[in-house]
This record gives sequence, C-alpha cells and structure tokens, in this order.
Amino acid sequence: MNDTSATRSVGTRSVGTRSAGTRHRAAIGSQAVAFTAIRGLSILTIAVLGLILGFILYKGLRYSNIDRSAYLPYAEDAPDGLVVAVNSGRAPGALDWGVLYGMFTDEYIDWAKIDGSDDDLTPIAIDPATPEGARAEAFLFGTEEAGGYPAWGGLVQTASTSAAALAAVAETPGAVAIVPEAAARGAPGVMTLPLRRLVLAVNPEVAEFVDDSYIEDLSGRDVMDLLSGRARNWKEFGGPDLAVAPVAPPEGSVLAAAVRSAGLEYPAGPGSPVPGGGLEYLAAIGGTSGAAGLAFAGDAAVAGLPAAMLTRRTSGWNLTIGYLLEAPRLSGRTGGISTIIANTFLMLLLTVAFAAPLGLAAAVYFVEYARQGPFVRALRLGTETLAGIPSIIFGLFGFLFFVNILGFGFGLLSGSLTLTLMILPTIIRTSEEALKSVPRAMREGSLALGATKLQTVARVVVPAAMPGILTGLILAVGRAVGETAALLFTMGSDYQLAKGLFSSARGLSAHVYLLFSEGISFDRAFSTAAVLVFVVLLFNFAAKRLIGRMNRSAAA
Amino acid sequence: MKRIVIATLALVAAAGAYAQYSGSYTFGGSTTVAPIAYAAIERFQKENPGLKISYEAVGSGGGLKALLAGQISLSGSSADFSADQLKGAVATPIALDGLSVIVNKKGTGIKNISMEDLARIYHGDVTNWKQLGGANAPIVVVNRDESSGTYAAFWELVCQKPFGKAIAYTKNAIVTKENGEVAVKVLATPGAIGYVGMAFAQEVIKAGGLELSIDKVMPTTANVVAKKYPISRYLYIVTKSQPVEGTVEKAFIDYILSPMGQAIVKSADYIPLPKK
Amino acid sequence: MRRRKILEGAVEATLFAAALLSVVTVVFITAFLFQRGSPLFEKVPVLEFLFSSRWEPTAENPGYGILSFILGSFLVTGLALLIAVPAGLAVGIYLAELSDGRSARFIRSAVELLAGIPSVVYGLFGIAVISAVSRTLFGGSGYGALSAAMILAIMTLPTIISVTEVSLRAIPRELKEGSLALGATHWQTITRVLVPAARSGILAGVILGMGRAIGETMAVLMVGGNAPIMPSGLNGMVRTLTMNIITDMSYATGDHLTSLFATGMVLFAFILVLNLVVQLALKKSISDLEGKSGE
Repeated sequence: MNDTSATRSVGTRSVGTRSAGTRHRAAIGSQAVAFTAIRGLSILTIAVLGLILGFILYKGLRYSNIDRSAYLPYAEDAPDGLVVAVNSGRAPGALDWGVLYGMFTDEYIDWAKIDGSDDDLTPIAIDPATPEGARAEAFLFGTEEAGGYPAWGGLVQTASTSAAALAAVAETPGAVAIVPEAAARGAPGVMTLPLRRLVLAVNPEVAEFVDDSYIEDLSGRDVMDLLSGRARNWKEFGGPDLAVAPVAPPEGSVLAAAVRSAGLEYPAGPGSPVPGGGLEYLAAIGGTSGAAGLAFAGDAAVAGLPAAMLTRRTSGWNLTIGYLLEAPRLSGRTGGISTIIANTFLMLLLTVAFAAPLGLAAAVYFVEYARQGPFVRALRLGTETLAGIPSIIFGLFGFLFFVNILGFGFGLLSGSLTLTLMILPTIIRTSEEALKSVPRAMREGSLALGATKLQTVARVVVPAAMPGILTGLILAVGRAVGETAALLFTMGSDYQLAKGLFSSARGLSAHVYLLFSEGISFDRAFSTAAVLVFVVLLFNFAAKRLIGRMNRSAAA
Repeated sequence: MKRIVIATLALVAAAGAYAQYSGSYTFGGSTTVAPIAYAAIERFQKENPGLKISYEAVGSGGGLKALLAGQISLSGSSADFSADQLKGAVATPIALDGLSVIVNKKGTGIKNISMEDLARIYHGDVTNWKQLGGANAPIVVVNRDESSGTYAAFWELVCQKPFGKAIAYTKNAIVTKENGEVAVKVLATPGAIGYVGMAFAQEVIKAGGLELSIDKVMPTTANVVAKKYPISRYLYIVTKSQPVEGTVEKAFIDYILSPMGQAIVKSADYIPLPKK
Repeated sequence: MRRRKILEGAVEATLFAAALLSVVTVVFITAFLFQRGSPLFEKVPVLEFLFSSRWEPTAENPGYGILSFILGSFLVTGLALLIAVPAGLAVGIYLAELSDGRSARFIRSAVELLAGIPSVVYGLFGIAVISAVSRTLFGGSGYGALSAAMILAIMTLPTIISVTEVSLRAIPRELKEGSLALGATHWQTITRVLVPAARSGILAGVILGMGRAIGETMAVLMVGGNAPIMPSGLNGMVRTLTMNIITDMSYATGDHLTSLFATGMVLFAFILVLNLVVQLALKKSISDLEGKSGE
C-alpha cells in the first residue's frame, strides 16, 4: 500500500545512509522552518478570521460616520424672538432649519425621518393675516422685501391666534407651530426645540462649475480658516482658483449677535463688517468674487446663495435596546427590527415543527428498522445528496412547488417548508449518530423485559438519545437562521409581523440583504447582521452546553 | 394653505373611517416605487386596522409578471409598459421622477455631462474619464438588472436617440438589483457612475457622492416640472384590469392620488403629479 | 396482540415514509428542474447553451449562452480553493499535530463559529472591506472574481480546516509512532506519512468545500460585479451560475425563465458530480483506514 511504502522509505533513507547524522540535523532544521511556517500561516489565518468576526460585531455595535450638513452645530433657543413649539411628549433635540422649513412645505408627513417616532406631523400656522402670523411667515419664507414668497404646504393647518396654536400643539402629539417666545413661555403641555440655522454662505461662483472643480466638504476648522483669512485661496479646498474674501455681518444685527453667542471668532482682519442691514450683507456675498460669510440658512436661500457643506465625524452606539424592541418602518429606514426578529423565530418554530419529527423518524428508521441493502443505500445516498444541494436550487424548487404549484404563495409556510427540506439531512445525520450511541444493552434489556420494539424505541432509545438529537437540531436551526437566497423566492419580504401561515415575512438575514440592496443604511445592515450573528452564537453555545452535559453524564 | 379650523382636527382623523377594508393583500413591483409604497401602505393600514398589505420589491418587470400571474394584485412600475407588455393590465400614473446621474467624487473629476456623453458611456464607447475631460481613470459603469423599470427608462430617455430602440448597454458594467445597491456601489468605487431615482440621489449626496448636472441642468423638482431636466419619467401603479370601486386596490390608488398620498410622494423625495 | 402488530407495522411504515422523503425530494427537484429547464433545448441546442457566451435573453434575437457563467463559477471557486486549501491544511495540521489542547479548543470553537456565520453577513463584510482591499492591492473596480474568491475562501476555510484535522486524527497511532521510531522527524512524519494517509479524507473535504463554493449565492452576488460577460482576468467582473439565476429570477418569463431553470440544471449536475466524488473519496478513505488498522 502507498502509505506503508512511504513509511518504509522514510525509514530506509534516514537510517541506512552514510551521513545519517548530518541528514538528521538538516531534517531537524527544515522541520523547524516548516513548523514555523505552519504556525505562522495558522496564526495568520486565525487572526484574519478573528478580525472578520471582530469587524462585523464592532460595526454592528458602534457606528462612526462622517456627517454632512450645511448647518453649523450651534442652535438658537429663540431665533428672532420666535420659538418652535411642539408637544411636550416629544423627544428633545435641535432641529435644522431645512427640516423646519420642510415641515411647513409638505416635505414631511410624519416624524419618522425627523426623530424616528411614529407620530403624524401636524404643522400649524398662525393666520398670516394677524401680526404674529405674519412674523412667523416672514421668518420661514423671508420677507417680501428680500424676495421671499410664502410656500405653505397643503398639509398645514391654520390657527387664529398663537394661543389657539399652542392649545392645539398641547393636544396633538405630532403638532408643530412657530409662535412668539413670549406667548409660548409657560404654556402647558408645550416644549420648544432649539434651531440650527447658521450656514457658511458662499458666492455662487465658488460653488459653480468652474473648471469642473468643486469645494470638498469643509471641517469646522476650515470654516474658521476661511473666515479669519488664514485660508487665502479656494483652491486649498478643491475649489476654483479664487481668492477667499471673508465678509462679516453688520455690527449690531441679529446675525452678528447669533455669531457671537455661537462663540465663533469672527475676524477683524480682511473682511470688515458690511454696514447697513442684512440685505446689504447678503448682497455683498453675492456680489464679491470669492466671498464667504456666515448667514442664516433661510436668508441665504432666499438670496440665492449656496451654502458650503460641513462635515463632522459622529459616532455612537449602533445597536441599541430600542433597535431591538421597535417595529421597523419604511422597510427599516426608521424604527427597529422587533417584527423581523419575531418573524425569524416564527419561521424557525415552523421549520422545527416540520423538520424535527420527520428527521427523527427517518433516523429511527435507518438505525432501528432498516436492513442493509442496496435500497437503504440508495436512501442514504439521497440524504447525502440533499445535503449538498445549494440553497439557490432549493429556492427555485420552493418557488415552483410550494409557492406556485401548491399555491401557498410567498409566505411563512412556503419559506419554512423550503428550509425544512434544507436542514432535514443534518437532522437525520445527527439523530442517527445519537441513536447509534445508545448502548445495545439498553435495547436488549428493554426487549428482555417484554417490551415491543416500538416501546423500546419510543421509551428507551429515543429518550436516551435525546440530548444528541437536540444538539443536532439546534445546530441545524443555527444554520437555517442565516439562510437568505432560498427564502427570497419563497418567504417574501414584508417587514411587518406575519399574521398567518400565508403571510409574507422578512427574516433577519433577508433584512440584512435588503437594508444593503435598497441602499437604506449600512449601519443598520451591520447592526442587524450583528444580531443575526448573536443568534447564531446563541444556538452554537446552547449546542455546546448540551454536548458538554452529555459527555459529563456519559462519564458519570 | 388649507383653512381648517383647529377644532376639526379630531374630525379629520376620524374621517378616514368612512370605508373600512380588511384582509391580507400582496402588492409588489418596482424598487423605485417601493419607498412610496412602503409609506403609503403603512398609513393606509393605520386607517384600516384590519388590513395587511405587503409590498415585494422585485422590480417593475418582476411586478408585472407576478401581477399577470395573479401572485400579486397591484404592482408598482417605473417603466412605461407598452400595451403589448401590459396584456390588458391598466397603468395609472402616481408620481413624477427625475433620474439622477451619480458619480463617485474620486477618479471622475466632472460635475456636468452632456446627454450624448452619458449615452456613450452606457453604450460602452467611452471608457476613461479623460475622454470627457475628467480624471485619467477608467469609468466604472454601474447598471441595473433587466427587471428594472429604471433600466428601460434610462435607455429610452438617454441612449435611444443615438443608439436606437433596442437596448444595447455595455456589458462591461456592474449589474445591481436595486436603486440602493447602485448608490452603495457608486459611493464605494472610485471612478464609478450610476443612475438612480431622484429619491435615492439625496442619500448619495448626504453620503458624499456627487449628482451630475445634465447639459448644465440640475435634477431638481422645479427643473423636472418645467421639463428643463431631460431625464424624467412617470411612476405608475398597475392593476390587472380597470380598478373596480370598492376594492382595496382602487381605494389604495385613490389614496395615493389624494392630497395625503401626494404628500407621501413628496415626503419620499419624488415629485407629486402636476395639478391639472 | 393483533392491534399491536398493526400499530407496529403502521409506525414502521411511517418511519419508512420519513426516510423516503429525502430521496423523494431529490427526485422531485431533479424532475422539476428537468421538466422546466429542458424545453429550452428544443429551441437552443444544448451545445450552444453550454458553449456560447452570448447571454442576451431579452434581445430581439435572444442569446442563451452560459459559458461565461460556467467559467465564472469555476474561476471563482478555483481561486477560492487556491487561497483556502493551503491555509486550511496549515491550520488543520497545526490543530492535529502541533497545538496544545487549550489553544486547539479555542481555535476550533472560533472556526466552528465562523462556519455558522450566514453568507449574507460575509457579503456585507465583502462590500465593506474585501472589495476595497482588492481594489487597493490589485486594482480594478473591486467587484470581481478576486473579491468573490476571497469571500468564498473565508467561507470554505472552516470546512477544510475541520476535515483536515479530523482526517489526520483518524489515522491509527501506530503509523505515526512507527515513522518516528524509524528516526523520521515529526515534520517528515507529517508530510510523508500522515498527510498521504489522510489524503482521501482531506480531498473529500476540499471537494465538499468546492461544492459549497459553487453553490454559494448571496456573498458572491454582493461583491462579484455580476456583469454577464466572460471574466476578463482575475479582477474582472464575474457572474456565476447562481448569480445568473437570482438576478433574473423575479421577472423572467417564457424562454428566459426556462433558461434559468436550465442554468439550475447545469449547476445541479456539477453539484451531483462533486457529491458522487465525495462519496467515493470518503468510502476509499474509510476502507483505507479499515485496511490499515487490520494490518
């Protein structure tokens, strides 16, 4: 036989030659090299695998992104003496100007994209015919003098006075109104949200298509450099070859006060303050080549000045308790994954309900009843073959057979039945092992006591093999939970809680894929992936514990 | 602005209860329409608590196929299907959408592109950004799969004039299954170019990608409505036959065409139908 | 007594039916794929289907050639094995022969864990990391055969590692002790005695991994590029058989749909052949071992 001849040749070579010692030393030397290489390669491989696992779990738990926004991080509590009033039940947090504007121009219908909550958005405006209403209108859309025009959205509701608006806000969870600060102070059931509205307005030329260049996103430091004159040319930021001309707001204006209280060091240097009112200031930015200056977002928009995009690195927890407990909305864009987790467990329960009895029955047949022969060999071959079939083929089959021919449609039932076929071989194989490991003496003892074969199997053999059977089942389910390809064609993708066997349902793995492919969020895809990996870990751990207990009881 | 007295707020909320629908329904189709569908379904269900609708985003082509096969009862579409393809099904326009051309900021070096150059890129005649005055880097073309209505619409709107009716995109392109995947791959790949529905472009810009202007016109709502921006199309809802009064499908279409539904369209970053 | 006998018979019949289910499923799957896929060959000759690379199923003059996808599948799988086999062998040998018990247990559970990670999660990792790594190291767009192969290598590694370890451990002690007693070094014993003796087991593991790799869908879909063209080199874009099915499945009708089932048939055929080889290799390794212990 080949292998024994190999042994022999090793022996003859190392013993029977003249310089056996030298050879042996050389062999020892090359062994050291080889072992180092093997160790190195192993450590490298394990390190790579460990890094992958670590990366997935870390990305799932923490996010760290570069946020882009036109707004400087400074928020005003009462811009221009007005406040943004919302129901006191809302989560506190500053609003961007653009969001506030969008609330009153039909950009939003609910709070989902704003703070992730479920409430409908009810924007309430005070009648613009009244002085307070006119003030809010000018605040939001700019004065007529500046070139603004009211663009109220169709969903906006009107209140006659600020008191009526505040009363409505106090009553309606998702309401928002812009009212004078004095009126809102002390109003019951109402809280106010601070507003971010400072942007870096630039001369349109800077952002225009000059030589096909564009300003890269600016950091907070870049803004300071631009305003203080430390940065001389827009080229430094990837922009056109234009000198930077910082412009400062007029002394004593609301803007100047806001800039001061934001703690932004406005330079005394090259950009001397523009005298006169706000309109002249904006005109100066619009009329000076390479100009840049801080402005309120609304004013800049009305004046047609582009705002530079600012970047900020943000990081925080990606996977939170809330993410696990909330229902997803808009295909997972907002909300959490509670229904997805529930769907996953429903799917697994159904799969186990089908696969466990079938798998166990088949295993019992193979171990206790089958007589060896070509027919049983064929059955075994079938099981082995089934184990090797790729999931996409199961998907095709499930789609054809369960979804179309049996007419179950996309849903839990079709998905679970497809999964059942996929994990059946694993369950059969592990159950067989477990049954075979039950000592013969137990069977014989039972039979000797007069029990029938069926009684022996049902009352003695299967219970004795139970831990092993369960372990196999858990391992199989651990694999099933990650299946995606076969389920996309059979189980559907509805992110709501499944309401029945024929209800389309999205599981964790499909959710991971769809969060990625629908371009919703990489962070959310990773946090869902982390949950999925945790579930797999849990199953593995449970199986390990069972095996451990089995070994202990076997030893005892 | 609607002049509704605040006291009627509660009544407005209750007014949704005029006709209640219940049961389980499966809709599906275009991935471009999906964001509108998800939002509209969530709200429609809120008004009809006994109702459960799912939307399977399988592409316009996949949706039509499933609709005709009876697997779903309503399908979203971003393709302007011919009568031949519809086989008696009825398409109702629900929104307008501009197609945004997005690029990675690295390895492209352009901010504007002409329609002709765009067509040449997707036909495979231009393969390096240098040929268009950009960076000296290969163009990584990101395309959709054939099930996509956006795939068909883009050819029709951009490439048909120079290259004829039969779709003949360059095959040397990354094929993606959803709008979002285009966005992800363009954002991750230097030198990449792709096209997506306007709604998805906002996400791309937020994540640091660049939206190109076409012949110096930016894809804004105003430009699409004014027909200045050349690449825009209607989005549709397709039903197997003329929608019948009293069915969930008809009620759902009416809902999307209602002021609330059109606000949903806008909140999903698409363009409401122009008022007649 | 008679009732009991009937019961016993009924139970046995039920158990038998359950045991039959796997075979029935395999037969069903085969039959369905064949029934849905074979009508294509009335219109497109089998040879054209297999050996043409013109895949234009929705063109006016449709082309249904899947050669690029067959080659794509093999390219990706081959590359993956090129990475995974040496690494897997090294770790397997390390675990079986060089490591102490504690570190082996640790590594083994880590490897088991990685085997359980769903392919869609690997795909996500591929998009986030592998495609960028591949782009930086080897150029190209980052979506192509090389990226797909790297992901597949990671996914097949656990199989190859554990099969290698198990095969090495299954070799009778006398063989190793004999070799050492004859003066061979440990390394010589490993390369000339143990690995050759475990050869067929290891081979079965590699083929098993190959089957997994050929059948894998989600991870390669996410990083492969999916262009329906002949792979143009190691980092050229690639579409495998599985990707072809999942890409078009949702909307294909008529001959196009039939061609997808035919693609499934080809994939299935490859898998069946690999499975048979594994069965044979395993049988050989078992009989080898039995023969040896009998010596």
